Amino acid sequence: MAAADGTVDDAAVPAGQPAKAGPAWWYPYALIAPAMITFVIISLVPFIYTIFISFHEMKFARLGDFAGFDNYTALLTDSRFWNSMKIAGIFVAIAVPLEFMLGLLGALLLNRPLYGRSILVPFLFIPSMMAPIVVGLLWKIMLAGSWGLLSTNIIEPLGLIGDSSIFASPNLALYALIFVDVWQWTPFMMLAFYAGLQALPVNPYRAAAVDGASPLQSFIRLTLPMLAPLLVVIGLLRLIDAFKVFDSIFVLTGGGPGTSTEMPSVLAYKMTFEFWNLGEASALAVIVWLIFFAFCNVFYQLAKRKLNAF
Amino acid sequence: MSTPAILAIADLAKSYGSTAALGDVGLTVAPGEILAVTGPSGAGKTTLCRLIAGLAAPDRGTIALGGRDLLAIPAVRRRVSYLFESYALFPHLTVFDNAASPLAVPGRRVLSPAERRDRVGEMLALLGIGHLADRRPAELSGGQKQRVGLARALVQDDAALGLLDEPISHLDAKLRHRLRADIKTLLKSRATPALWMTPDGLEALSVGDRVAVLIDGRLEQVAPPAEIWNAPASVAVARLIGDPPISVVTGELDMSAAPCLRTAAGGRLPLGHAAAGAIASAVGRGPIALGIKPRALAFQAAEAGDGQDSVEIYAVEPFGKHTIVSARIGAELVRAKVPGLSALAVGARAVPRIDPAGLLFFDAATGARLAVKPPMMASVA
Repeated sequence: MAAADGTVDDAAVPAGQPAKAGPAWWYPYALIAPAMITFVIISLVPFIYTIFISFHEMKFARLGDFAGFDNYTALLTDSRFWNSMKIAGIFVAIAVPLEFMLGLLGALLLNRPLYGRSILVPFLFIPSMMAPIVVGLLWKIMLAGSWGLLSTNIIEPLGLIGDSSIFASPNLALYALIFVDVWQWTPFMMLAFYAGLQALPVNPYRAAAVDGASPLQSFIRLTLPMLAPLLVVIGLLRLIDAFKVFDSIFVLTGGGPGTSTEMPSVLAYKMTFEFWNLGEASALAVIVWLIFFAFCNVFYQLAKRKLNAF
Repeated sequence: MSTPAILAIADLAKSYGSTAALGDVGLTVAPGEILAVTGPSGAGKTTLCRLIAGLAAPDRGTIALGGRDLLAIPAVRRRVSYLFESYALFPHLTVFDNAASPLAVPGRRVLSPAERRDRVGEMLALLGIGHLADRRPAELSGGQKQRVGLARALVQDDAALGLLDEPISHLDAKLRHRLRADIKTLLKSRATPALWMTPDGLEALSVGDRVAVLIDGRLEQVAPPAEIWNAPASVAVARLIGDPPISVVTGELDMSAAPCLRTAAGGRLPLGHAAAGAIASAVGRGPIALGIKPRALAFQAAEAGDGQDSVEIYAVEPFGKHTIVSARIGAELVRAKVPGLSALAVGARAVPRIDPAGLLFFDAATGARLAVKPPMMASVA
């Protein structure tokens, strides 16, 4: 408001506020709008629709009657669902700790004075940069029965399996998939942990050395606690990611032989695009979401309290 | 616990790339002695600490403790208690655990939890940070962090050697005053050599049994505090000692009717007959670097046009019980410390009054102190 003499009227600014008022109220909303709109359209709407479908009968693409918890009871009484949970449990319980420990070990080695490190590090990005489909095809060829590079040269001479692919063995296929996952993700863990190690302050190590701490003490009482927030976050992300791995399994075994590598993601795919039972597939998706929602919450609270992470 | 041992350093040198950090440093520190090492920042104090602690290897020279070659022992087993200038606290540990951490290393006597709690608690209380025991370093101020570092260094009563790199420089004046005495007493109660690094010359004089002055990586003087105070070995040492430091003016003595010291930059310091005579009889009439203790100088207001040989007052800094009055002579600032308040104003003309007893004579070219012919080294406090 301009006064008659041309000066700006201070009364326009609310009392107690700095004379130079901030941007309009909508400004922060405008700034987060692009991310929020994308999130709502890509994630939130389909997610809510999935929950909606899970309470309805839906065969093929036709939404049927409201079905209450019918889809859920059908799923929870289906041995195939429990089988997929068991498979996922085994997969995660072996693959993630292996990737974690190998990654940490590799990062510690990488963190030592190492000739040619700057050339080595970019190579470590390759497995995690490759599309999982490509990784799947690559290992399908390498481990193909009777002519695959690794099959003919290493596995078959050792007499572990016959001349069929390891992915055709009901007992071993899951472990072959775990191997592929470890191959693909260990270098990534290694790089993430290596970056964390590089960011640690150097002076506490000097102080520990002068005070007489052994290398093992330095590792257990300095490195691990200082790295803990990163270890927790990376480990959690990998855990979630490993639970819902789909592409490489789809390419390598398609969930077989039989149901021996049928992870929940593969089962959900089959329920949708082979059995066309979208209601039950949605119920499966919602259950998997619930498991992780609960797990992450508990984990987050624990990490926050115990580790000063987050 | 081993028997107390003397620390002997000889010909120690260290460069970082093409920058020489230390050159030909030789020192001994007796068991139970505190050697205060002082010098401007960048003089090599921290480098000396790092070499002794084993965090860096010297280019040449030896460090021995009780006759044992320390350089052959890795840092982990040197048993040096080291206060880092940068604190180097463990960010994930509480103040208590930081201070207690050295007690958990292998080879140390295992303490019972109660013993440990008492020892660390006592140290934290002494340093006035007992109430912060459960905090983490990120929640502390600089002075508090410094005291945690001190606690961690001083809690090691079985260390073979104490290294304190600027232990009290981040504390406020009052605390510095109290802790200086407390830490000194604590160090004196231990039968090991201790090195106390400080950029503050006066702090060095007050804490050291002897004082080593380190300038540009070289030892300028190692002597008891009184000797450093009364007879600084060089211009560089003189400029570091005192509050304000001793003023040094380099020039030629002019013994005309108005005797003065003429500097190369065209400045002139009126001396008065007494001072000029003292200089001439002590070191002759050649070029000289003249050191003037701040207490030996006063400025007397000059009336305009009274013909007296005067200078212009550059700054007047009242500190209550004394005032520092300075005048610019060529490129040099000459400072006087006068009791009480001064009536002089900046820009006024004043006549310097110099007490010949407070003069120091240095070689104009090398900066080394000149031998004085008559005995005239009476101290001016």
